[in-house]
Amino acid sequence: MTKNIKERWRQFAAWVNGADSDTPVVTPEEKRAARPHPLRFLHGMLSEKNEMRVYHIFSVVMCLVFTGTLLLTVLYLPTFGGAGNPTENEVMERYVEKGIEEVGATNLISNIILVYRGFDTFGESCVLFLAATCVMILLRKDEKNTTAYDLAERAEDAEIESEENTTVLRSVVRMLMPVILLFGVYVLLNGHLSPGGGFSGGAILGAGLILFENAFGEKVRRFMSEHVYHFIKVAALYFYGFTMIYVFFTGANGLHSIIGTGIPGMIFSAGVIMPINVAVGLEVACTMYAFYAFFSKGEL
Amino acid sequence: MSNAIATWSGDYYQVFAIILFGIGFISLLLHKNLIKKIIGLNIMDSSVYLFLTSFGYIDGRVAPIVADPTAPVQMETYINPLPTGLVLTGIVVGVSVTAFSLALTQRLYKKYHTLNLDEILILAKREEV
Amino acid sequence: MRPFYENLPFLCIFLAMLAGITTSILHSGKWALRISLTALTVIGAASAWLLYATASQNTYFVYAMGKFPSPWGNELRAGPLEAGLALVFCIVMACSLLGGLKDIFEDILPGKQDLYFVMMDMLLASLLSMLYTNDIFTGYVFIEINTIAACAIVMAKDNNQTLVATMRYLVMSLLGSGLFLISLALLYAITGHLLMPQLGESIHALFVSGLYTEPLTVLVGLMVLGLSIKSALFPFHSWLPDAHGSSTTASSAILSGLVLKGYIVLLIKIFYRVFSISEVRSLKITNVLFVLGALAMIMGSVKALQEGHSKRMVAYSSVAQIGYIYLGVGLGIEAGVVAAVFQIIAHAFTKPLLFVSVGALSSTAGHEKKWYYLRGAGRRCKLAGIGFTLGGLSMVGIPLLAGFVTKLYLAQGATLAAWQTAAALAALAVSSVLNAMYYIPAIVQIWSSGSTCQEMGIEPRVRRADPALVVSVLVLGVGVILLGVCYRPVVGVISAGLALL
Repeated sequence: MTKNIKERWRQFAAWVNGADSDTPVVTPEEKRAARPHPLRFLHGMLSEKNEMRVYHIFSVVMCLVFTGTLLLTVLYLPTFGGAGNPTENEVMERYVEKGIEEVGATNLISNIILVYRGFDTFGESCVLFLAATCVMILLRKDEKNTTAYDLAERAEDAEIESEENTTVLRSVVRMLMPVILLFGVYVLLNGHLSPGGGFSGGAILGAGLILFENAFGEKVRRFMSEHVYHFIKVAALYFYGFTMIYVFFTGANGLHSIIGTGIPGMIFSAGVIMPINVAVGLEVACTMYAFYAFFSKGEL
Repeated sequence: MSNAIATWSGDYYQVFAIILFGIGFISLLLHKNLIKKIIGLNIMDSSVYLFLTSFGYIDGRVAPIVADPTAPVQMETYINPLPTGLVLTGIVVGVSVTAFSLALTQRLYKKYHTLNLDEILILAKREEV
Repeated sequence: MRPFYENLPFLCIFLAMLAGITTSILHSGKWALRISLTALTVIGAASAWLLYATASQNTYFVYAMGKFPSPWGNELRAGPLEAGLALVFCIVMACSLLGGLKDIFEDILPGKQDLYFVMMDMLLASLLSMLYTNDIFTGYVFIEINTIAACAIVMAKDNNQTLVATMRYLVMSLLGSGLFLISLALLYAITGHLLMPQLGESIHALFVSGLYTEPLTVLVGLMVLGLSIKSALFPFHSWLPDAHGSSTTASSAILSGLVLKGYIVLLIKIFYRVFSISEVRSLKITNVLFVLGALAMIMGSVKALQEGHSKRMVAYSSVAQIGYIYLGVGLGIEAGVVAAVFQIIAHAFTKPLLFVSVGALSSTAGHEKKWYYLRGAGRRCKLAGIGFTLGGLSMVGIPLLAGFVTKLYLAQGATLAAWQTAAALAALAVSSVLNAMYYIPAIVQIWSSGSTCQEMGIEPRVRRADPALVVSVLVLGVGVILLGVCYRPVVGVISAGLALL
């Protein structure tokens, strides 16, 4: 009995490790020759098992050195949660006390990430854009990454979908979808008043879109074609980019800016923050959906 | 030593963040499976974000979202909002690089039918010759 | 209202980003290339203007991104050094793209060529931001953009080797940026600032008062470790030959010539603006960099000597050349850093020239990259042969070429150093001999008569140089010679820029 369990566990572990039955054979000698660089000189001096052991000990020691150094550093850092630490300085004071007056959002964090330090956040949405582009380069269907096996798998998927035996999923999604969308839009629009904002709201919308695609594949795909995806993404980034250019240019040159702060606490307040949140949210939602679509099907 | 333990228990948040970093780092080094390596990398990233947020926390204060914008805002009420904002940026970067590395892994798996990095390296070298 | 040229750094960065975003919807490699080249030309011209404006008045300026100055908002800072390096980066990137043009359109699938140029534009934007930034967290964000874009241009060729190389590159790079972020968190914890001027003041005060010495040492160590993993300093170089040796010509040229330098320039900026060179010296970190740099100079060349694959050999030579830069920084004195920055520029011209030439040479032998099959390739594509000869001789350190001037200034700096003089001179001498040992046979091989690639069943063919290749080799070659002949103004700008940092 125990042997059986052990055997099953080994199979499970092999499955988790991605070892298939058609795994190409790699001889232990080859594996040994390809050991990491620092241990190359040990080759031939130690047995296979000992060499592995040396590598493990080396890794563990390196990890312990890193962790130990950092733990020791913590001893010398300012106390966690203590008032009057070096971080509680004039920078924080202005962010907290002047934030509403100067920018207008009652969520002080969105003041910081979208206006005070707006350039970082624009860079961040470019990171997301780049990652989506990279995933597209890697996974979009083309002659280099599509095998007969993939095509067969996709045909099978399409067949399963066309059988329409997803009644439970569809009814649940019908019920949940409005709530998810509403919640996403709420988080998006209230980013300057409450916790939330473009990235979190966009992630919720994207998750809703993925769920919707699972239940009603064809409908979503007809709407979210590659053109629509590109259009939304580029329009959002353009809007964000040009708003930022305007804000930076007028701010740095001391010109009069048409962007006001509004009445703090109202939905239409805090100048550029809400429009930017909407733009970022659309971009994030599209990107999340695109990640899902490229990973699962290789196309939008 | 007892002094050190007292400091560590006071800074428990940072200590746990660093232990998490160690866990991520060791799984990056020891695991051969690419997915597990990426998970290790992700744990490492998260630990750094936790570490960074910890510097914004101040005992007994609340999250920096003003409930009543008409009243004057006192700095002593709120925690430091800056690290939170920085971590938000960091998280998005983390998501992006994870997506990128997973996409690469998918391609490598399709080519070599294995996720073991050692085997992939050997197979790639074999092709080259 | 400030003078208009002060807006240029900010406009250049946004122009590059918007060019990248626009390119992503073009679905046409040709148009994407045109947009990239236009953006590069405009940004290059703007950088030249900026260089003229700042160098002629010997001044620098700080540009707040928005209404809020430091320590509250993001800032850019530009002086002669930044503007000059931006100009060099634009020229080199444009030439690398032109030189590798044929390979780009052959190696990358037509549907994905436009996305390759998206990566190029973003890479340019991130390099510019890393040059100009006055905010250390902006530096981190753009390091990440740089990482993703650099990995993407490696894998764009999309064969098995590049995918494996990208995986290794990505994992190492992410480790490096993770370490950089930890050091940034520590820096924030002990100072409470992220903008470089305020960080500098706080760090200086900490040095005077002797507070937080231990975290300071650890954070400098982590920062240097992170950035040196990303810039392939010697023990951390294992990812470089695969990534640079297997990707398409233009990618190799840009990765070796520019991407590695971006991180080093950021490191030098942090050394100067957050710390000061004497404080860095007192933390002993320069000694570590010096030793690793010297080791890199020798080990990189030894590795290159054993390599039979032309692009991997040139890539290993990059490891050695990065060693020169770190050796200069590691001297821990002004003169050493001047030599290091000169090496950044010299190598930015020389290495792309070598990669572009090797790419063209191998195309005469059916894209076979082994030296053995490249016999006589220089006779079949004379321009590329001349380019390779020029680049190789510059790397060896023949007078009147850029590499010689680097060695001259490094040696000069070494004589002023505290204890490093003998070691630095020895490392320079050994490394020059080693460089000659692999570049000279390679040059002889490509100019020999006859050819060996028939053995592989490949018919050698003559390659007529297309205009793009001519422009690329010509500009890079002239750059190498100019840097070797009239190096004084360049060094003048560098030392003026460093003095203003």
